Amino acid sequence: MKFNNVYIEREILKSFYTKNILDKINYGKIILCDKYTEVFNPKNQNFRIQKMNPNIILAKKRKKLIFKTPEDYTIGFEKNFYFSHMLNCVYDCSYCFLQGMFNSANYLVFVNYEDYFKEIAKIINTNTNNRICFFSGYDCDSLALDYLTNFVTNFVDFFSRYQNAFLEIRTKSVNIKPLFKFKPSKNIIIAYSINPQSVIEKFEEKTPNFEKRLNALKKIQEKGWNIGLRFDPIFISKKNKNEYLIFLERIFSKLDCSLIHSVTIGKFRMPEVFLKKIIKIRPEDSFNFTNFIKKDIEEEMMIKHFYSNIEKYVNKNKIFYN
Amino acid sequence: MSEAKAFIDYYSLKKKKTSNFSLYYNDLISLTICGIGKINAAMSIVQTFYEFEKQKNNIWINFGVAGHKKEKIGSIFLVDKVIDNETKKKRYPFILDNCKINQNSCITYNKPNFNYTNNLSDMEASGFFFGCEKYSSKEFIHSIKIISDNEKKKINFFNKDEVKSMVLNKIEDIDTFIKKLYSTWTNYFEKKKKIENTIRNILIDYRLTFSEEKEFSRWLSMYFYHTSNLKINFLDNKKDIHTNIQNIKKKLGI
Ligand code: SF4
Repeated sequence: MKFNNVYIEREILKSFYTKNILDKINYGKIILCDKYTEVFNPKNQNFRIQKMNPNIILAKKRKKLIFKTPEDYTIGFEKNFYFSHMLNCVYDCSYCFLQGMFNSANYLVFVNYEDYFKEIAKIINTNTNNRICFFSGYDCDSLALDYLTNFVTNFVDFFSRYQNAFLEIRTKSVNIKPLFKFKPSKNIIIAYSINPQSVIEKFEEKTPNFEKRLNALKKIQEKGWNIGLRFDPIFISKKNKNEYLIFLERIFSKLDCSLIHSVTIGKFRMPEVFLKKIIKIRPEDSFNFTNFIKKDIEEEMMIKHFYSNIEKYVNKNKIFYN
Repeated sequence: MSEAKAFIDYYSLKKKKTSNFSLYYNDLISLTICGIGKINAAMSIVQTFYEFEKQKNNIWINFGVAGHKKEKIGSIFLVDKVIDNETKKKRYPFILDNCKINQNSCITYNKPNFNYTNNLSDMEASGFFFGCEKYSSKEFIHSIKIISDNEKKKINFFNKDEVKSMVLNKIEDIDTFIKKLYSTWTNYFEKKKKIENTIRNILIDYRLTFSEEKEFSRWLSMYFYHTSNLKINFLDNKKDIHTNIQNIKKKLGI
């Protein structure tokens, strides 16, 4: 991968992870900064223009390493947390909330994994009676840049030491090789965001196509790993509702349904401020966004129907409509 | 001024009469001679912004001389980090791909600095960046510095021809940089500006409250982007805005 500039926080210049990443990329110049926020946070930045050619920032996450998920979000665990070892993504989904949340499209990688481990361990140790889940891949794609970040190697290894704590690795990437270095771990869930091909073509630019994602899921499952299906966001409409049903059939005919860890369905949702910002930087998609956020009884009915079709293949208590 | 002369000739700029800074322009480019110091640099940004119809998100480039410990006189650099020596505040320009000009960081001093380091030293860049960020996006704000002095040598600033010819030697490289930046700018903003102007012209024919204007603009913009059609014969300024919005919705199938 090639970057014009690599911005590195002075404090982590000599870190093992920093060196590791630098060894794997081509770059024009290293520019040192004191805090990543100096580069990443300024307001007068255009996410869309930067997205054409993002730089990479290597930094240390100092505060708020782990967050609680919204109360109603679950895949069946008693307590849920999320964390991000990276901000921003190689893909370019038009509905991606990151472009509303961040000012910059530069890839920001936090290299102080040990600090994450400490924080996660603290939470696990104070929740020994609960089954808890940690979600990764909300502010980036967990697997897409794994060859740089070594996320899988580090975090799968870390989580395999615990019984009551689960890690969901959320992805659209088919870069699954790093997983196969490990014996399948019962407390890791590889969860794919998945949509029919026409939706992928329309809204999920640069992402692997449906068949590739399905093949990856199959391989992961065959190797003995937990898999999750995330129909989230779902873009079901009168026009494509049949395609969504054929899509389900295709998925469930290929996978072993009894071994699927969980299925979630979620509508497109986005805080108003992010939405306003996105429409400003990609006005060409304002029509789509207006349709996405429309509250529609018909859509609700179609989702219910979609849900009941999933029930034909997967046990009801594994399906979550978030 | 001698640095500016090279650009004025190269881009065939003509003088604009203003009270404070000297401004030159053609249809596409304007040039402001800001003088020495970061305060002048920042003030010249404000003046230029107001002189040219307060257009946001334009391209802004600072060009000027700088010192460096060992870089050759006459070589040019694109600033990739600017540090204000007084406040220690920093800015990091976003440099587009394939830029052929070498990069360097720059420290802006309040007084001439002869303690040369491996950073460029100047007296304007920080004022320029802090001024511009109110009016444009980081990707379009840049500073190019030409080395005028180093530990061993210094150009004769009083020799106007020497300064001008030093700049002329690099003007093609600078022009290539500007053209690349302009093409990125055009790709992103041209359609946007066209649509904004069309909407502005439509709104002239309507008497609307602030919130009505915002709502109407939102729907017009959605229509123009979605259909890529700037024809508006289905609008009727004799009808109220709600009827017109309904018409747009009908056209969009919403
Ligand atoms: S894969 Fe996820 S994080 Fe990446 S662009 Fe798409 S929605 Fe955003």
